[in-house]
Amino acid sequence: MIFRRYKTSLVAIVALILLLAYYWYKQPLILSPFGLRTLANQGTTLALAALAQLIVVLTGGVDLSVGAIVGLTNCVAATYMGTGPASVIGVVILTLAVGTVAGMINGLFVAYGRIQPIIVTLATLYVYSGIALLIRPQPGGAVPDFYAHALTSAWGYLPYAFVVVLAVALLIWTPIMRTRLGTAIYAVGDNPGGAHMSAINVNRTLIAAYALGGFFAACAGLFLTAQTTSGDANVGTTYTLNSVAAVVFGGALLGGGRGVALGPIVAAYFISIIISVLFASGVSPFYQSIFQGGILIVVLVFGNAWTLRARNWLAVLRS
Amino acid sequence: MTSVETSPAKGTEAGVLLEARGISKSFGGVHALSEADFICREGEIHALLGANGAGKSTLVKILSGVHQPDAGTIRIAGEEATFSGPADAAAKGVATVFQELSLFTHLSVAQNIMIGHEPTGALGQINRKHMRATVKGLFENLGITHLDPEALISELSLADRQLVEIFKALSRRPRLLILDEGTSALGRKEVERLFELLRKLAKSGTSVVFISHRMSEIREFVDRMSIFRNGRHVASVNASECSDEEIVEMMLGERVERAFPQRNVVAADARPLLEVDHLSGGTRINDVSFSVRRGEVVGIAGLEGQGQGELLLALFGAYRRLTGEIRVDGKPVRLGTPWRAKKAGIVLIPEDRKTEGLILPMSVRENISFATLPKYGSFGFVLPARERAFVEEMIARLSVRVGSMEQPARSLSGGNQQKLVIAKWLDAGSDIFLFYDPTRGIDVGTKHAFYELITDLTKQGKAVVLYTTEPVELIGLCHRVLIMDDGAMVTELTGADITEENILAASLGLKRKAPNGSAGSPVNRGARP
Repeated sequence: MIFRRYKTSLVAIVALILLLAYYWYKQPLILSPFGLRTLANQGTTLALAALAQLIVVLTGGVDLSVGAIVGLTNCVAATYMGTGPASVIGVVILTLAVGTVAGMINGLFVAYGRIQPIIVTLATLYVYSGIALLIRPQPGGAVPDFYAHALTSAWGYLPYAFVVVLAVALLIWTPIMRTRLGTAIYAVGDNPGGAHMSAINVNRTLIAAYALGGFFAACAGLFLTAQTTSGDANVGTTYTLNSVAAVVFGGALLGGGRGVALGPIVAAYFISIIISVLFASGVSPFYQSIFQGGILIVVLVFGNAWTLRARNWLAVLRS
Repeated sequence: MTSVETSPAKGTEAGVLLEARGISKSFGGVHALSEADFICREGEIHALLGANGAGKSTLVKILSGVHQPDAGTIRIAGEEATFSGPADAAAKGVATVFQELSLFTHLSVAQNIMIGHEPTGALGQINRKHMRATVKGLFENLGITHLDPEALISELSLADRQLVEIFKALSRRPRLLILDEGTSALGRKEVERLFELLRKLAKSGTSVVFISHRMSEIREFVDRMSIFRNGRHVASVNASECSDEEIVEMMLGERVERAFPQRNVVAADARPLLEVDHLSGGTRINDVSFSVRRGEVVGIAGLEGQGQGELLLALFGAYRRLTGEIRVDGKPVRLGTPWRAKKAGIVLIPEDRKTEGLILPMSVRENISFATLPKYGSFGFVLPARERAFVEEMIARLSVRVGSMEQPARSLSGGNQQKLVIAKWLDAGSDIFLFYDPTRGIDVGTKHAFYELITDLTKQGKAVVLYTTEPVELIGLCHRVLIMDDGAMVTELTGADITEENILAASLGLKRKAPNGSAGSPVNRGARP
């Protein structure tokens, strides 16, 4: 029963295993405590951003402001964190609240404004980046060592970054997706008309999903802050499109209704690590982007080949 | 099960659960229902019968809260009720299984059935164990053993999906369960099982209202039947007290007279232009063979959804992996995409002009010239003067009512939109025209223009395949009529045998003696693949 839902993650898992095997062959040191920690830290921000993207994609939308919210929360955290444990905890909560509110605003426009999600979030992308720039016109800021250490260090072979991702996935994502709200999010993305007919409040579900997306983006921002120990308003840009790539690569349907957390998280590590792998195998930096994109396309084509079995082209075009 | 009130309220007959009086509803000036009455008693299985467009579906949509009536009252157990939407109706004890499935394909059977009222724990967590048990209990009560509550909907057959849809409605413990064409995807055995299940429900006090076209299949299972015609309630009868003939008579009523142009005379030696040999595939086309000669109109009839639409789509190349052969003018053609079909000279006037026929936001001019653009181009550029001349000619030829050829197709009336779809293909050099219910939702005057147009096409030696839901059109326009049932051709009617009685009887699968002697020749049904 479990496997039915998780088999959409299979392409990403197999791809990551193959990639890591090749990486290990080129660079055996990745299996050291230091190597694992580097791998984990490299991909965790994107993994959390992918969760933010996934919950919106499940409703049939897309959130282009994910990167902007990551950048905004990064600036908030790095600017106000202070040094004492109390202020750190306070600012962490504040940062999560900022992300949630930013997501909720997206949701309100999508639900009640009936505006295409891609346009709403494109507009808020600019607004949130602008606010981040007001807070932190130049890169900078600081976080206490214990904060950075707590998120990015390692306990022997176990990097704390993995613990962070597992905690967010198992203690926050999974319980939420197991409530009525979670089912409603899938239902709304799968068949909005049917959801309405089944007495689900479609608008409230949308708002909740976008707000949760903002929350997960704030989690990504907090991790990024620990990793870079500074704030930068422009740092989030790459996470928007990479999070969409991770979500699709991880087996979710862009049309909504299908997808689990496992695939996008795994895909996020794949996408984050691939650059290092290309570097380790001696590909010139000038060719890295070409290889990165090419590898993604090849993997996606393999993963998607089954769609073409449909009998009716109309069905293929609508899927 | 919610307790069923046994004491009738004032003014209501004892044992009546639902009473609808004087229900009227019109859509854009067309009366779908006029002052229809309907009464359903507690614990009975009640079938709604009527030809296409008789108003059954509209009534069901009003009873389930999808549409609000223009006039009339609904009482449930004697209390007046108005429904703001499907959710409201469900809360008041009316659950409906719709024709368009409302399932979530990527969720499990149990999740679909319990959606919106899942059992939850203290933290809002859905108690999956409890949910599975509830669903299993529902299944066991009604003797369903083959459905796995954990299966995803996308893995189920259409028949099982319909069962899930029914259980989804039942899980809310309704007092009245409405099934709109609930058996269209079920086979004979499954229908029997479903009715056993409904019988059990009825015994426990739930009323069941049921729409089905397959009268012969359901008769033995229902208690009462209400017959509708042209938006009016004709009669309600006990199922055991009425013969098939009487019911067909009530469904037909008085004849609708409509003027049709003189049919084109097909030359005795006319060669077949389109030949279809043992065509199977798509979702339900099952070994279909027929041919159409130059100048001939062949009608495709039968109940709605018996594969007529799929057949036309298949001929237009929308499906892949078809088996069998299609020949145009004696030469086999390989279809598979609409552009290949167009090249072979086949065009389709599709079912839904708004999504498949036109590009609504684009102008009248663009919509008309789309399919034939290369004709008035030079080196790949469109010559506007030539294009405009052509569009003007088409607008005049089909008397399309437009202010300007630059206005968007969206702003036109249904009939004029349909003319655009035809104009698009008229001069594309095609010889075979497939029409999918071309006059649906169109006023009588424009309908007549279409009849003229179809007759004109045949006079020019073109071949026409016409699927229509209006039997009068089949009678008035067609040289031959083929009746489809469950994806296969079952009967062919020619000449004087094309009568409404014969078409309806053949569609319903009744063996009925026709006034003209024979009820058409049965076509051999191929074995199921």
